[in-house]
Amino acid sequence: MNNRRIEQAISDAVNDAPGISAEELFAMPYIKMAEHDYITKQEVRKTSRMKQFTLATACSLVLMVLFVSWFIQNKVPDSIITLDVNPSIEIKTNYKDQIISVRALNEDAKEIIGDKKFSNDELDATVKLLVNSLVEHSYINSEKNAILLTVINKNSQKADYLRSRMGTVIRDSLTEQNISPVVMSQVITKKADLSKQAKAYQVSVGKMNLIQYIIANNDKYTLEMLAKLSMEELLKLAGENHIDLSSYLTPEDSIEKTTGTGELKDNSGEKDKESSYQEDNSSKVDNSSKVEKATQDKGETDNQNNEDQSNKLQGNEDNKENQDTNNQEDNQDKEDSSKESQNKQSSRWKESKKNSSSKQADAENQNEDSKAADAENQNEDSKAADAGEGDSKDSQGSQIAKEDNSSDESDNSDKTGSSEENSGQGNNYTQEDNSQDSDGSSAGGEGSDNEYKDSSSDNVSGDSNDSNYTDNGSGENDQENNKEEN
Amino acid sequence: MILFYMVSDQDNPNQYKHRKITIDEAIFPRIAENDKAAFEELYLLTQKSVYSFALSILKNHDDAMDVLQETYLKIRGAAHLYQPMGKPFAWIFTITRNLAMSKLRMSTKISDIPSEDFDEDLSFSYVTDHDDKLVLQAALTILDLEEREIILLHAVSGFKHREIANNLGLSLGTVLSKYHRALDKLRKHLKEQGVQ
Repeated sequence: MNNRRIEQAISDAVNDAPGISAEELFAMPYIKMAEHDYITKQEVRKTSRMKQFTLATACSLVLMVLFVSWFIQNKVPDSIITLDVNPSIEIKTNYKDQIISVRALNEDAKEIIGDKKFSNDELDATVKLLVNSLVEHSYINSEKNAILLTVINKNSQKADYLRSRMGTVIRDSLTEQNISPVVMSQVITKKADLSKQAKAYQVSVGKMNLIQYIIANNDKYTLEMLAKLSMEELLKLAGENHIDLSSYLTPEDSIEKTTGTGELKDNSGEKDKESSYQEDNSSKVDNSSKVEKATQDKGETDNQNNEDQSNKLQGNEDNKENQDTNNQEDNQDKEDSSKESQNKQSSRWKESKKNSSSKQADAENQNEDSKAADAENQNEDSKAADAGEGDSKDSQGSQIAKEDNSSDESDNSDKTGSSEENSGQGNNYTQEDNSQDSDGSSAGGEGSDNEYKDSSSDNVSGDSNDSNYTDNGSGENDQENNKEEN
Repeated sequence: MILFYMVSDQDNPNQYKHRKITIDEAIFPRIAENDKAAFEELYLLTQKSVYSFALSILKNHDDAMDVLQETYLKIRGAAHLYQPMGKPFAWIFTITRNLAMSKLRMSTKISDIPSEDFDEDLSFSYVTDHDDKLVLQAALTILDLEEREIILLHAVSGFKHREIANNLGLSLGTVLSKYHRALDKLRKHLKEQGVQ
C-alpha cells in the first residue's frame, strides 16, 4: 500500500463516519459568552511575531556589522596626507591606502586638482599625478623645489611608513622631470586643534604645524602672516631667523634636508638666497667635503660637488699630490702652529697654493716625526678619507678632505685668538662659517677645541663631522661658543 | 527543504479532490447574529476537518462527535468575541483541541488500545471498507498525537503542509518530517498486517 492509498483509505474511513446535520446543530442551545474562556481564547502568535522580529533584528545586525566593517575599511579616513608647496592639498586614504578624497585647501590647490576624481585610486599614482600637476602649473621647478609632506596617522609606524613611501614617490616623480626636490616631511599622530586653525587659514594641518613651530621660535610673526607664505618662503623665513627646522623634522628628514639642500645649492648655486637652507649650503661650500665624506661613506657620490670643490681649490694641485701620497698627513697638518693656519686662512682663496706648499712642507716634516706614533690613528682616519686606494675619485675626495682640514684649521685659528691676523675675505668667510654652519664647522670647532694638536684629535673631529648631521643641537652650542670666542 | 516540500506536495493524492477551504472571517459576526446560513456554510466547510482533528486526538468516533458538537456550539457562543487575525481555522482547531483535551482528561477510557484489539473495536464499525478501517485504526494506534493530527488533516481536509503548520502552530519542517515518518510507519505496519 503506497502513501496515496493510505491517505485515501483514511479519508474514506473518516467520510464514512456518521455526522450531524447543520440544522440539528443550529437548533441546539448555546450560551453566548461574555468573554473568551480558556477553550475559545484566541492565541496571539507572539512566538511567530517574536521569531520574525528576532530574525529581522539578526539580519539587520549582520547587515549593519557588514556595512560598518566595509565602511571602516573603505570610507573611514585612516591616514591624511598633505602636500604643501603653496598649493595645499589634503589626501585622505582609507585603511587599505586607497584614496577616499583629495581636497584643495586653498585656491591654488583647486587649480591643481581641477575636476579630477580620485576616489578609490591608488595612493602612489595619485600623489605622482598631483606632483606632476604641481610641476605643470609651475608651482615646483628647479628653483622652487621645496615641498612639505605631512602624514597624519594615529599609528606612528604606519605614518612613518607612509611618509617614507610618499617621500620616495615625490622624489622619484620630480627626479624624472629633472628637478631635485627638497622634500621636508613630518609625521603627526595627533591633530589636536590644528585642524580648526588650519581650516581657518586655508592651509594644511602639516603647514600649520610648521607655522606654529616657526612662531614658537620667533614670536614676531603671526599666523596670518605666515599662512599666506609658500613653503619656499617659509623656509627662507626660517633661515633668516635661524630657526633650526632639523630638530622640528624627524632625523630622517634632517638627512633628507641636508642632502636636498646640497642639491638645491647645486641647482641654484648662483642664486643669492638667504634661506637657512642656502646658508647651510653656502657654509657647506666650505664643509661640503664633510658632506662628501658622509655621502662617500654611505656609498653615494656627488661628482658635481667634487668638481665645485675642486674648482674652488684651484691651484691646490700640490695639495692633491700631497694627499695622493699620504692623506693622513693632512690630518696631521692640524698639529702645525696657529701661524700656519692663519696664513692659510688669510690667503685661502688667493694664495692657497702657496700656503698649501708651506703646509705641505710642514706636514712632511711633522709627518716624519709623528708618523710612527700616530700610525694607528691614521689608519683609522684613512677609512674616512678613503685615501690610499689611488683611484681618481679617492684622490679627489682626499683633496677635498685636505681643504676641509684647512678650513678646520682656519676655524681653529679664529678660536686661538689669531683673528687679528685674519683679514679680508678669508676671515669674514670663516666667521660666516662659524656663525652659519651648524653642521660642519662647529663640529670642526668642537674637535679643535679639544685636541686639535694631535692628529688623533683630527680623527675625532673628522668623525664628529660625519655624525654631526644628526646632532645639530651640539653644533649650535659650538656655534655660539665660537661666536663668543671670535 | 523547498524541493522536499514540492515533492511531498506532488505526492498528495487528495490534492485534486479537495478544494482549498477558505473561510471568510466576516462569517463570524454573521454567526454571532444567529445567521443560520452563515453557520451552515461554516459547518459544511469545516466539519470534516474538525471531526478528523478531534478524532486524531480522541481516537474515538463518539467522543470526536461530542467534541465536534461542542466546538460548533462554542463557536456560536464566542463568535461575537472573535478577533479577525487572518487564521480562522487556527481558532477553530484551538477550540477543538482544548475541548478534546478536556474530554480526554475527564475520560476514564484508556487511549492506548492494543493493536490486536482493533478488529474488535466497534467504534469504527461504520466504516464499510475493511482495509480503510484497518488503515484508520492503524493510524490512530501506532502514530503519536502530532503525527495523527498531521496525517488526518492532510488526508481528510486536504490541507497543505504549510497550512497545517500555520494552523497547528508547528514549523513546516516539523510537519514535513512527521508526515513522512508517519506514512513510513503506517506503510510498514500495514505491510506487516498484510493489508494490500
